Amino acid sequence: MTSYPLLFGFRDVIQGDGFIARVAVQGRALMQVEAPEEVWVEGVNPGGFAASGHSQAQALESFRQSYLAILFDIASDVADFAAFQRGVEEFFHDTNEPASRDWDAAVAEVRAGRTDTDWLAKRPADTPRSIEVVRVERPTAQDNALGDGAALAA
Amino acid sequence: MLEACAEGFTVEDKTHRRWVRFGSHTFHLPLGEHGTRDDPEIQLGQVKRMVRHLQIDARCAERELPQLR
Repeated sequence: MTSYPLLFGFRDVIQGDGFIARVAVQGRALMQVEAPEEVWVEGVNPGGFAASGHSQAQALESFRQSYLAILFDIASDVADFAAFQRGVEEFFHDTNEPASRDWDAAVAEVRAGRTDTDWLAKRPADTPRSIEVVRVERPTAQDNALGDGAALAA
Repeated sequence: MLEACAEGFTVEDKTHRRWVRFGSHTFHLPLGEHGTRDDPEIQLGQVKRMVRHLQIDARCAERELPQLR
């Protein structure tokens, strides 16, 4: 089984009852190729969810959708923006500790040159992780931005 | 498995995910329209990762669900 330590950056606009929020995450995930057509991506920060696919691209897309689904669940569950912010921060800080240890080991493999990819950009493994939840008071087009997507932590 | 190995766990179905809480951790299992609930292989992979994230005793989980081995 090959493990890839990933960094990802997503930016989303989420609607709740009476508020609109922008959520920007810089997170970590662990991709594991368990079989030629069985790829898993497991959240490290945020932890608490995983997704699979028949290819790396499909597993990453499924991971992205799962992340969004959890944000939607949090938004559906709360009465106001403050509660949404707390819920998203709690989700982000629920670190998957066992996966975090495997993530560190996988970074060591990348640095030693034993794991590599030609389908992902590389970013430094010590890139800061963060979650930002901001209430959108006055939506403007200049707030639109693509996330960083996924990269190999090196 | 949860009854035997994760005393005090709670399960709550939300709109998109089943939230399983144990100790200070929460795992979000897929449910619903994409059919993953009915796909044994995907379900098993999800359960393996849930056991890991929730830090459930792996030996107990494997005893209750031998497919996890």
